[in-house]
Amino acid sequence: MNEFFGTIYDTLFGIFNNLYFLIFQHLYDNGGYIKLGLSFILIPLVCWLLFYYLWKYPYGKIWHWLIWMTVTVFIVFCATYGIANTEILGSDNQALNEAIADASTGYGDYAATLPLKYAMANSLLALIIGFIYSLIMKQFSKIQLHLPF
Amino acid sequence: MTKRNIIGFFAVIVLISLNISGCNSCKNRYESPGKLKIEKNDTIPVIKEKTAVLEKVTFFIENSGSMFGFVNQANEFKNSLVGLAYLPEFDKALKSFYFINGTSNPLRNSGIQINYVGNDPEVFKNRLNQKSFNIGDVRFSDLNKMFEIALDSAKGNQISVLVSDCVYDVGEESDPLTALRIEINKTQQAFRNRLEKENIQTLIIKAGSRFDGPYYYASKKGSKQVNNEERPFYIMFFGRTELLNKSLTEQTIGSKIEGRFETARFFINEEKSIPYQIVPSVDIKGEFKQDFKDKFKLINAKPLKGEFQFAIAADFSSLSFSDSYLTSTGNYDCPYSNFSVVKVVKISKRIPGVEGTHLITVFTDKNPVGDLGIVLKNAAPGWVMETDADNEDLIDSTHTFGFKFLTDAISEAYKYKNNGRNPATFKILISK
Amino acid sequence: MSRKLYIFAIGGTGSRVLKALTMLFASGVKIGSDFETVIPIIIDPDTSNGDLNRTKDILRLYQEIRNQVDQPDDFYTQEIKTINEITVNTPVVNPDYFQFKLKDTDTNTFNQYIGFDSLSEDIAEKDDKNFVRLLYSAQNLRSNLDVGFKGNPNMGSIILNQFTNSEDFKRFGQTFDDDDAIFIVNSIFGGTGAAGFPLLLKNFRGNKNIPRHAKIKEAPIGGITYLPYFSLSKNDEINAESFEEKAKIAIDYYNRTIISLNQINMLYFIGNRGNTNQEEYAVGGQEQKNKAHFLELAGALAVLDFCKNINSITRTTQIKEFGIEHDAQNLTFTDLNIENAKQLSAPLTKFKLYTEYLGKGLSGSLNISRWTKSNIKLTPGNKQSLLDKNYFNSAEYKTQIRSFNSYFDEWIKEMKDNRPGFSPFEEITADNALEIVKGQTPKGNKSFKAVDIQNCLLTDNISIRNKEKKHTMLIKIFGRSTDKVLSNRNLLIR
Repeated sequence: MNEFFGTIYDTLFGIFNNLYFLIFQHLYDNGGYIKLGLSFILIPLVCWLLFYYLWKYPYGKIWHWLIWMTVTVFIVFCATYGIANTEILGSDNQALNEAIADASTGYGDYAATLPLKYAMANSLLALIIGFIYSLIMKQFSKIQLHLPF
Repeated sequence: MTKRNIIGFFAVIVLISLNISGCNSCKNRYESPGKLKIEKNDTIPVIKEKTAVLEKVTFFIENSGSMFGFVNQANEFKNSLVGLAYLPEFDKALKSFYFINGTSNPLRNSGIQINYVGNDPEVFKNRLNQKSFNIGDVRFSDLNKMFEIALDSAKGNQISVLVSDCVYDVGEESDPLTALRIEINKTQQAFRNRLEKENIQTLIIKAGSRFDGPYYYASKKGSKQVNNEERPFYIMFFGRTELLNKSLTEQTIGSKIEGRFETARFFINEEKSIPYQIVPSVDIKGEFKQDFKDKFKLINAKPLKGEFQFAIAADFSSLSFSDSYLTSTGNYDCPYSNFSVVKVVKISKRIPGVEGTHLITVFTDKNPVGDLGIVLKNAAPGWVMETDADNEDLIDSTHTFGFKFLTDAISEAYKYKNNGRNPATFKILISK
Repeated sequence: MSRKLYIFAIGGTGSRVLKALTMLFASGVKIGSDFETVIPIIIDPDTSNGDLNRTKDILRLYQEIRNQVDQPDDFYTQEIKTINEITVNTPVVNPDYFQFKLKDTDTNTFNQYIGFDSLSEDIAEKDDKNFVRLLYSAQNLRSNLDVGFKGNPNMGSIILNQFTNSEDFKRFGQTFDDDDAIFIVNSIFGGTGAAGFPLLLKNFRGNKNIPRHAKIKEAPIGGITYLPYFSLSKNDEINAESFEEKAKIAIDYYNRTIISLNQINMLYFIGNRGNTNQEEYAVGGQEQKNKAHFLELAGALAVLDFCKNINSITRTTQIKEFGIEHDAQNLTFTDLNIENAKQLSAPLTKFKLYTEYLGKGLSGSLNISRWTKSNIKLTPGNKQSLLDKNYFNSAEYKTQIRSFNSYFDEWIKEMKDNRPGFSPFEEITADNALEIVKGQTPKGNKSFKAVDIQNCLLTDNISIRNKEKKHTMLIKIFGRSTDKVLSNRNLLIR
């Protein structure tokens, strides 16, 4: 799972640089990729489960669905940003922390860009996977079967 | 949505987030991040040293006629020897100083003469003169026997030191080189025998000193007067690798040997593995990615403009090779692969995530995919070839007649014992 | 064994009681005791009577709706049929068959009917005019019969005699089976009812010319007789002040002929003295459209009581009277006896909520809530709703459902406006719909949202879906959803 998510981010989204390999090695070793990956899988899962099975509002319209998608994506964005920030810039990996602290390595500047990159990537993935969840979950929903269409 | 539902929803989100972020140290605890990784199928390196305590150092100084030119004035020879005698690393050990000459050749009507000088470096220092040298049988020297005796004295926690000009006395042979070869075989035998019993390292230090006196030809009759010119001499240490590595680092030697010096070490390669890792951030040509799971594997490897290059970092701190040896690309090999080692540098500035002493850069302009093995060999250093002379026409500060034969013999003996083992082997798998 | 209950509803009161009973059936009340079919028979010569026609229309709509519901099990559970449907076994709904017609009453006066003019003036003759004049006033003789007997049972008893030899009555006999029962509704102070009731009983128990007379003779028979419970705005040909006097005379007659002779197994009496409502004076016809009265609803309860106790009836006539717990100007469920409250609370409240929803709440959810959408993408057909815009715009919905609901709301309102009033429900809007039961304020959201939620949850239920019978889903979904919503908020007395 670690490798699968790692591949998504570095191959699909190009969030990788050999010059700063220590960051990505650390993410892998520490399960950071799993945390990032589970964010865009689990948070939308919970959100859409709530929408389709717990939200007992019988007058739901398409804009409700759109707002909820926005909220979900926003939560994923924030969670991912936080996770990436903690994993990369707040880790207990001494070697990485030293590299980041040493301005001459360039690690600090590069690492600072990563939380946003991962957050953007996860937001897009959450959008896609949220849409897929919607299409599946609506089949079993009794009240929101008609959303998004 | 009721208030209860909203609270429940956020509680679930918080729980998930805590769970995810709380899993901070849940992965790969056994690998502490950032440290050097060792190839999985190798044994854990035993870098920790046995508590080797040096008990005795035995000095054998050749005092044949050809050595007299080194001791009739204050010079680098004397200073270096005394410096070594007073080495702080030898403080706690017993010391014995001997002068050794003569030959075991029955045709010479001689015999190996070992004369005890004392156990006090001060006394030893005062005996480094022509008058004191003139003891025993100064007509001859017997390198093979000297090696035997010195090797024999290096047992257990004892080191022995042999100081010589390393010129084989082959007599007035019509074919001195052939005679030399025969002599060398005996040298090799002596080393092989000793190595059967114990793992002895041989450290040869080539130093230079002012020489004022006769140079007696080894391959022909007569001598040549050398007036205050530099001549090479050799200090050879014998002892267990741990003892020599501990006491006689390049730095230590450098602090005591006056003038330029070169070293060559011969030792049995142990089964331990040298830690190494791929360094993806340095000397890159082409595209690749280090496999997260298998850190000795490169994936998605693609040459750029036909070229593919990357570097590995190795920790040679447990090896006692000199920097010049370790940074010489000729001492490396990439057998059965398209790669070659193009650069080896000592790591001066810390590279993030990299722990090691040296960076080894490998390059290929062919297909990089496949198994890559990088090997640090036990090779004779370059200066050995430069030192060698196959005749005595030129008597100078660099050359020593038949020196290569000597080092070859020692080298062969160790090679035989090593049985194909190299001091360091690094394996990298490269895939598409 | 499927049993039938024949309800003979005589006159205007009979029609109104039948209407109340039909409303109860629509709201899910079942008479039980294995009575599968109710066959109402209205006997009223006043063919243009407002009450009669209203009742017939309600019965027609009831049948039309029920025929479009597949196996109703809540609203519209009880089957109602006409004699014609039983004999001919046709699905055609013709409300005229609910009424047994009287011949020669449309255009004749009473004297024409009895052939007064053909009688002799001679006192010595067997049938002479003077004898007749002893029994009937000049006004009586001049009366047009097409509006009934105007409170004169002496006239009714003559005219109604023809009834029992009619084809309709013969057909009734033919359809009568073992275990069938009969219930008669009449008012003692009216013209038709007062006369018809004993006449009917006499024929049931003694007329050998009726087919299956032997069965009918032994069949359980119940009846409810209405004593005066309303007055009129003025006195003219029909004198409300004479109602009590007539009632006394009639009861005396009943006592001697019906009760003492055990002609009937169960006789219910009901009435209300004092504080009664005043109806607009009308001599029948379409002008006679009395406001629905709680007592008519109570009379319907008598039918249910009769059927419930059908297996414990005795040969000896049992008499029952109706009472309530608290005498109030405006009765609610809690003013009634607890058993009656339980009988009425759930069905009427559910149906009321249902009609209110369709009137006030549907616009907020039509084509928005999932249960009203039939064009949901990526969804199989069995999850699309059958209650979409097309359904609610259909002729069937408008002419049947909406019309019946309108009658129901009118009936509830009339009972509320009457004296004593029966007003268990509040006026509601879409936002406070669940405050529908007087005196009850449920917690939480009070709007129709709860109903919509339940409807959404029920839409996939295969047992309520039927494409062929168009009203199946509507009737069944609301039967269940109103029950769930009201039960959850403890608004029903059960």
